[in-house]
Amino acid sequence: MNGADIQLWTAPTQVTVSDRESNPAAIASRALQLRSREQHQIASNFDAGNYEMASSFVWMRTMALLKKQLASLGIEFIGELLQRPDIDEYSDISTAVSDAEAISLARDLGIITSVQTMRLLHSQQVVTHFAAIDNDPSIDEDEIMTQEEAVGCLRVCVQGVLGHETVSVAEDFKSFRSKLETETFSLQSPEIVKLFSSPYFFMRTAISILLSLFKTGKGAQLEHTARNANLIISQYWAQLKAPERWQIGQAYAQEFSEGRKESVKGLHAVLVSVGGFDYVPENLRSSTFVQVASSVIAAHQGMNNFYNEPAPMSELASLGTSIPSPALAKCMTAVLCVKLGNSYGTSHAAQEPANRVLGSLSTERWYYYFNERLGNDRIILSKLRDTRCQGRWISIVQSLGLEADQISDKNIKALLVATTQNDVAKLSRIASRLMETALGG
Amino acid sequence: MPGCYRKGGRIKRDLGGEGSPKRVVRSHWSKTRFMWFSNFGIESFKGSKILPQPVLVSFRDQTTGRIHDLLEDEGLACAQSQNLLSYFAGALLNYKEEGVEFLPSIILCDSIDEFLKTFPGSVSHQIGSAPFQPESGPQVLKDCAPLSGPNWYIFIERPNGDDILRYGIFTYFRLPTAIPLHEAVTIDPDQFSVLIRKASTNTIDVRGSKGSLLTLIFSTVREQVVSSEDISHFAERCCRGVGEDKIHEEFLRYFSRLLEASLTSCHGTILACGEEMNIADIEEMQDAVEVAPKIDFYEAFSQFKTGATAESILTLQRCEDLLNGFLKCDGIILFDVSGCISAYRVFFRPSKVEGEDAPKIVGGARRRAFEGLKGLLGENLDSVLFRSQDGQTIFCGEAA
Repeated sequence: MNGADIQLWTAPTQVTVSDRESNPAAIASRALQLRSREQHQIASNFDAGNYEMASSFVWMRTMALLKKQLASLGIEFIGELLQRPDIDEYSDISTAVSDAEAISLARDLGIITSVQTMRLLHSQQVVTHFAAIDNDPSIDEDEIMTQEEAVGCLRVCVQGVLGHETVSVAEDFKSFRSKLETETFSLQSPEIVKLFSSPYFFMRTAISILLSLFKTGKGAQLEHTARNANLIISQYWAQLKAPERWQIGQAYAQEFSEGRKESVKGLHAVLVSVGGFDYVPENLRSSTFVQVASSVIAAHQGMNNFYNEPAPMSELASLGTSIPSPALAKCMTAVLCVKLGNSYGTSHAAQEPANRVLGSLSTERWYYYFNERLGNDRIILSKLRDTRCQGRWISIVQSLGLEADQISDKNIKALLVATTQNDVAKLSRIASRLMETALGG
Repeated sequence: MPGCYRKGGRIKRDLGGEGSPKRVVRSHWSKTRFMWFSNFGIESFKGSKILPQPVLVSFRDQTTGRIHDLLEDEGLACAQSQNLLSYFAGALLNYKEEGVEFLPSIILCDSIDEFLKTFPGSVSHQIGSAPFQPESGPQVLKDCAPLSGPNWYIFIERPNGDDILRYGIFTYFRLPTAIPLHEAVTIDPDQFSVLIRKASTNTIDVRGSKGSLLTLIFSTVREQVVSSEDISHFAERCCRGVGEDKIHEEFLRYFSRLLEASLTSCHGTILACGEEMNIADIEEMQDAVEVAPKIDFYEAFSQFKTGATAESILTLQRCEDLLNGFLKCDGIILFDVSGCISAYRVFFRPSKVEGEDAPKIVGGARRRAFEGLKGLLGENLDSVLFRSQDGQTIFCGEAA
């Protein structure tokens, strides 16, 4: 039995559109969340060969609906899940959360399956590229979105979001979240048994739920939350990766600074039970780094990324070379996004500030990234399956002189070896396997 | 260490929250005096050839006994700790260096490193060491009190295997909304620590990590126990016009703590709150200094919460500084229901001469003004908070 067999919550499995269906009109007709007029417009655009227009519209509607659903869970909760302290109850989710973050969250919350996640991330790259393409005579006029790409985008959007009467998080997830604040679990509780058998991201999500409840709960809610947090985190602490440990320590520091004494008491008990005070940051400086790093990632994954990356990347570089530990994982992902680019290239203007940040990273911090972050870094893992990104990755990593012996996870170790040996095919396979694991597939 | 031992295990009964042990000891300083026998007595003693002896009535026994009880509740029985705390209880009441009064908060703990784990971003500096005995108290205060203040506190680490205590100062990462030391000390009940601080002009607070609280009131006239609830009620009235969203709750918590901290170091004052109040229309308050523009704490707090920039923190701290400045002035400070200060140095003048049948007010000018202000409640004012020089706090108005 592996983690993929038992999952605390699962995405709906009913098939709205078969993978074999390739008729745009037939697929569009299943998009229950779109009005009939919109369905016809999509079909007409496909008939006219306006694939970019049709796909952009479908994508925009899909993301808007998905983010609306995520917002219904509470913006602060979303901020906690994304480990983005800059997102609070006043944030506008449509602008604060990038498309890629929304897709990743949808997977974490059981809205979409792991395969749909991979397809949506791929479609996003295609749609944003063609939506932002220049009217440059030097660019080949034949470089257009293909029908297959457009149909793929439409199909996965309908399968994951548009084809359901209402987009909703998994019922099991809702139930689990509710029970965390209304009941006190024991080690024998079915939810806890299942949680410990689920893939890692379920635990990550559970911790985010608990920390979110610490921030919003009161009275009995808070007491249940504190007891459940003590049970879950103390049992799983040894397996927790550093970013999640820092997340808990950061929550403690934040609650302390906010003056919420009862929450602080609960989190204090958790940290005492696991001896986790080393993960409590000395200040909240990391929030600024996380915020800017998130804007780098959002710019990278959004439209016109080559033009939008330099400004936030320069800002990140200007924050200083000593990145606080709680923000390190996010900052490394941001810098690697800029350095690896996408299948269409990199942002030239953003390279210099990215190089400055990379130059300041010690070997120990790279080992930290490989050991603690890469295995769950869906953004970077998805890039490592792309040929052009692989070349840039190999160039960066080979210059670091990292030793595979320092890596604890066997798959990550194999990935490092494949990188140092220039074995692109193997690198691709390992990255795919790691990505599947990260998505709980 | 002879005479010192730690009690094993935790005390079973619930010591936290409202059920925590709370003692109030009233001292009668006026009785602390030398009492000589009368001539008649001397005569009679002459016959028996016993010389008259001075009798000393001291508050020390009472203080030491209560501190002993508190330490026992906290799981520690140690004569030297008890005597040291007793010394500080008296010394902190009016501790001055070069004519300047200091209000240090002192933590007695087993290990400062363990104690500070609770406090994010904490920093400590050891200043010195001394024999573990009450006679070392003056040395600790002499070395550390001038360094202490609103952001730096004194620690005393109990001996660890030897007979030497270590002392110094510490601080922690304190945003304006952070948990204050006297509340944070109870976060970790398993870690022995006792905080002693001056809570008002005549009051010393001693509180332990398990929630035990001893309030030593050095007064002969006190009738009421100092209560932070009065301050909370007043803060609620000052915040009731700022909406019901989440930030309102956070602002209320911040504002209550701010008032409590500011009143701790003031010499006594009256705070009044009113909605849509126009001083020009209140006959009894014509002598006042209006603050224009108003000192808007809620606005400053909102900016801090949404931006958390250095500028927003400084803006909030500027407001706090001005409040502390107003508190040093005579007169009443007026707040509105949106967390703003609208006037200070407001002097109450009764509009009519009271008849002979009016109830007699016992107290000074401030107390008389307070009694007079009560008459304005409901019409011009919403609530009033009185703080006497000896720390007595009375809230008058509708509790939210």
